Amino acid sequence: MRARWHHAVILLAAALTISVWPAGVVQAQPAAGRDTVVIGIQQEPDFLNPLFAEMAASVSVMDTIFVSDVERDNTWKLFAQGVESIPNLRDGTWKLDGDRMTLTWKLKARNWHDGRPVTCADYVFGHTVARNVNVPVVVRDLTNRIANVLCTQGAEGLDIQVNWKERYAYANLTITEYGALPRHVVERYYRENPSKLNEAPYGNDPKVTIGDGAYRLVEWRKGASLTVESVGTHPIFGTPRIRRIIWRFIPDTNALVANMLSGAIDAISTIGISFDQAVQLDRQSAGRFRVFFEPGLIWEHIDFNLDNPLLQDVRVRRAIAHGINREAISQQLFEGKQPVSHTYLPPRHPGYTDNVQKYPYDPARARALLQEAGFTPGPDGIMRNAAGQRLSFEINTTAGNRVREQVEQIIQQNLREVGIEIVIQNFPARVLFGEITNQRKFKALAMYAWVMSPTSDCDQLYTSDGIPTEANGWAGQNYPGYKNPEMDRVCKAASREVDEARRNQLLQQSAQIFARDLPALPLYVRASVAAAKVGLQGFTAVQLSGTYETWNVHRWFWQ
Amino acid sequence: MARPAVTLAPAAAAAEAARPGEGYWQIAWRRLRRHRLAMGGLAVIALLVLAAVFAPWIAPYRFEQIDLTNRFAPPFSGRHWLGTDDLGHDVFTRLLYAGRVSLVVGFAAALSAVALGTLVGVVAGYYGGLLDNVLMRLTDIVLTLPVFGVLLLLGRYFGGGILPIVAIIGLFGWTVAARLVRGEILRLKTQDFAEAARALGASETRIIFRHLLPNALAPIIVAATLDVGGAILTEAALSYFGVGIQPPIPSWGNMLQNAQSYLWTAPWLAFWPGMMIFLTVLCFNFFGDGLRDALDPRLKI
Amino acid sequence: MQRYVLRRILQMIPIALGISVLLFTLLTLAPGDPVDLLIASDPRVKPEDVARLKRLYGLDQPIHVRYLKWLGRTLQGDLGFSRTYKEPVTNLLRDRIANSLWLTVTAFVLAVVVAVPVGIYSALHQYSVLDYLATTFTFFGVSIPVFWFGIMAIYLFAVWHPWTALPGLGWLVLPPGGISTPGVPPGLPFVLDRLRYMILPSVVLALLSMATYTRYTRSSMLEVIRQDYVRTARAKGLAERVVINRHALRNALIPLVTIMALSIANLFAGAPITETVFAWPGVGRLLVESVLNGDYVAAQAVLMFLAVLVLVFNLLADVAYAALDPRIRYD
Repeated sequence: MRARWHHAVILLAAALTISVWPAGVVQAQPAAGRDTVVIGIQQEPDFLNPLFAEMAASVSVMDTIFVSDVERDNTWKLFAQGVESIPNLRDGTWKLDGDRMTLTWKLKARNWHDGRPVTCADYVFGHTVARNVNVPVVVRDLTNRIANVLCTQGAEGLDIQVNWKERYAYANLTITEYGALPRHVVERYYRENPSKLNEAPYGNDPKVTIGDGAYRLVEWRKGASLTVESVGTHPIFGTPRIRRIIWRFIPDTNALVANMLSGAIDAISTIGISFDQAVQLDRQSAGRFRVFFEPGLIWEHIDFNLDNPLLQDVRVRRAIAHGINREAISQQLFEGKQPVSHTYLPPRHPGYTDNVQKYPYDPARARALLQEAGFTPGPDGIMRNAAGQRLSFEINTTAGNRVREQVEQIIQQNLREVGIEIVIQNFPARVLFGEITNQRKFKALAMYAWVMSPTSDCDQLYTSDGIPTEANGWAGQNYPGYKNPEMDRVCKAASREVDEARRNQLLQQSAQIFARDLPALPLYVRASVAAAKVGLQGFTAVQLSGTYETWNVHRWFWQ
Repeated sequence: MARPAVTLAPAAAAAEAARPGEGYWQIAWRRLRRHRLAMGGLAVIALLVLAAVFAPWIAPYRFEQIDLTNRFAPPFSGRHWLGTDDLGHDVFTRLLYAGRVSLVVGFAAALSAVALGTLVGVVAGYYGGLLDNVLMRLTDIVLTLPVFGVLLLLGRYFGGGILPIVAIIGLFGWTVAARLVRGEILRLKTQDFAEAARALGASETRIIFRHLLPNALAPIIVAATLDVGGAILTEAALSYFGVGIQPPIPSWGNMLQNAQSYLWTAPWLAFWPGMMIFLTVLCFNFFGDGLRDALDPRLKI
Repeated sequence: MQRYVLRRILQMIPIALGISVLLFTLLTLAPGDPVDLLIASDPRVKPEDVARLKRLYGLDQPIHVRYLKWLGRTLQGDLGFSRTYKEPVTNLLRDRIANSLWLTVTAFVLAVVVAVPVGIYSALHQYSVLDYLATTFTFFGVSIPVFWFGIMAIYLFAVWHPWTALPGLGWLVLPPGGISTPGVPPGLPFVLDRLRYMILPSVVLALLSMATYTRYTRSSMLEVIRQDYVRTARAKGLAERVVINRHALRNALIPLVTIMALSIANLFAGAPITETVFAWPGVGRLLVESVLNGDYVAAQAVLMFLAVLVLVFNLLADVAYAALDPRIRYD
């Protein structure tokens, strides 16, 4: 009996080891007809109400249902979508008045899906609701900066004037923080119970959730799928060739891969599979679909806790930078698809510059820097200084994130070779970000990513007033505890500079200071990944904050 | 893990189990030796323990040694017996070291669970009354808790290292032993030898440690043995969910978790760690079963 | 009997309350409040936003006040609003229970249909080849790591499926996870599709119960056939079939019913691993997700649901035992 079982094990083992995935039935055809696209997405939207949508999936879906005031294309270029033009300083649509500002907007005429026109009053209403402290809106950053929103041609008109209390560099990217809400639908729920407006039918129930975009929400089966249908000819988008878009919520990424392989879905959203899975999927595509890798805005790095006396010496920080083979991580672990980064801004950011101090892999240089800083190798191979302090650092990252755990182990091995010991101690994301990093409790190194946006700058991120303390309620993102008056000046100036060229110059300057002082070590820029059947034209793997692959759905078609 | 939380009341132990002294253990050992599955299980466990102890000498590589140029090498190819994983770690080496972790966690967690359970059982059984009532209600509560969910929760906050995992598994695994020991103590304390000791003026601690506990040892040992397998499974499950032992410390559970994402291109990575868990737990169950038959055939655990 | 049941129900209340206090404390004291996390993840969120949201959600109150409020709402059937699923937990739980029932019921039936006959046969033919096989199988069943078994099943049936090269077997490819194929029309195709998705997880889920039931059926049957009245029946010259069916089986099944009643709750509680491996959106997976995502409103509801389930089935088991076994009297 036992012998038989052993045979079975050996057979199974042998079978497992020599197996190859056979290419299944090839299906490059649309899954549900040529007027439909089925997108597999890992998340389900939370609310389809601009005020409460926190999940990327919601933003992705809402891009089809709502018109954006100003939108970005896949090259990150801005264009006016719901407005006639983007306000600017030259033609006086953007006026500065000391510290205050006034922006003048003109809407493009279009209707809500029930036929009522979109008016200035809808924008005023949206802003009023967002300002109410009893409404559970999370972010009220712009809302608090705006003094008031006025309708210069009457409530039913298309002209809007927005008065700002303070100077803000990115005031011309959106009229108000959350845009227009159909007042004739939402006001009733708002009056009933503002503190539970997120649970109201608007944003949840397809029957009342109307927008002003090229598509209208027709069905939302919780936990399963969401369907939008073209409204026909739209004054802004024309007549889309894809009549229907269906999102299938497939929370399990392995199942997402399987569905793509079997042809049951036409595309995988950028909110879908992991980088590793995309690489595996790419190998199995066999010409049926394309897998996209698009360097995005997510920036992986290691924060140095500058309260750590050993890390206060910039030579030690630079030695760590030279000691880590970031090029090998990028080339071998990521097959070159996630490039090494040298600064805190992603390469496509308008303020990006390549002209910064770089730290290529150079163990000899790392050891030399450490020697210069007074460290000599101890009997265990780990460097120590005259006071006998060993160069041993704890690194913390999010437990369960495999890629970060892989990178951690490579760093551990790399740095051992230059005489630095790395002790790995990981925490669940909620503990890491809820306690360790934001309260600056990490002992030495913390590895995680910042999700940047095309408008991100270094204010709060690397300015001294952005250092979280108990006194400021742990607000601010300067987790390393970096203090440099020059950096403070440049970053503050950049965040208030309304002239784009001058702002970009300041940002480039900040990138150079950053790379010189190295309060954090940039590792690599994460790629957005997506997949689509080869026949689907117009699909791009965009994943900006607020812009996803759906930004140009009205121009997709099947070939 | 989701072992059936079915505990029958401990049946009265066989008469011979109650007789203290050398003879009893010799009889048990003779009986155990006749139990082929149990001896097979014991042999494999001994082998695994040896492999774990001597891992540094057996392993062909260092367990944290990375080779980025040689990722996903298939088994029986080149210099790696069982292939390499996503970082080019030698899988065979990792399995050996992971065995160390799993066995240590298994033994330590089972030991602490049984120790805690024995303590609760003795206190409840010997002192009775209100204390007994409170402790048994507490046992009811823990038995009713969805333990796996609570372990996940605790693992999320305290997991990562070996010690916290042992502690949280021990903290929720004592109920079976507690009920068992309490039953034994209740039965034993009314028996002649205990009454006699009390009449002779022996102290309470002496009665408990010299007279009652040794006589209740058989079920405790069996419970501990079976618990080792359970604890190994629990650790593996927690690590599989990412809240158990964290990389770079290898454990069979986290190796399996890691492998699941490469099922399409490197399926062999998932095979070995699971096989090791299966084999180890199976052997502990074989051995525990044989041990029960040998020590006390009428015991139901 | 009625008094006994009533007393048992009354005893359940303090235990349920104790569990709820314990769980509530554990979940509330756990670090990483979702609102606190907002400030760490989004630079646009200000401390005053956090204070405002905490006040809106009632998170600024002391723990005992929050517990009493939770208790009050729960007793009225309002389990709260999940902040990660953005849905009332009552709806969430209802949908997930429905999904879990598909699996749990199938697994239970599967386990009973296999285990009871095998256990009886084993007992009647002790030391036969099949008995030996069955006994070994029970050891395998309780020793195999469920998640590994699941992964191997996925690999074999969803990834590799070497038999599809053979003619006529091309259809035998099972989905690697999930609950249904997108866009299958309702009615018969939907049910057939659902069945295809259920094969692997229900078999995996059934394994542990199958092993347990086999073991108990066998030992219970062995115990019974050694007893006097069975021997007497045999001595009277009754046909073996009659002896087994009329006398032995009936008595052997009494403890088994108890075990089964107890294990249905455990089948639910044991499903988290299976449901996670197969991405089955049931209660178990909800438990895992809500705990790992720190959605404490949902986690509290699921944990409490499972605990109450165990209590209720414990009661049912005892009642069934009392009702079936004529020797037991409760007064």
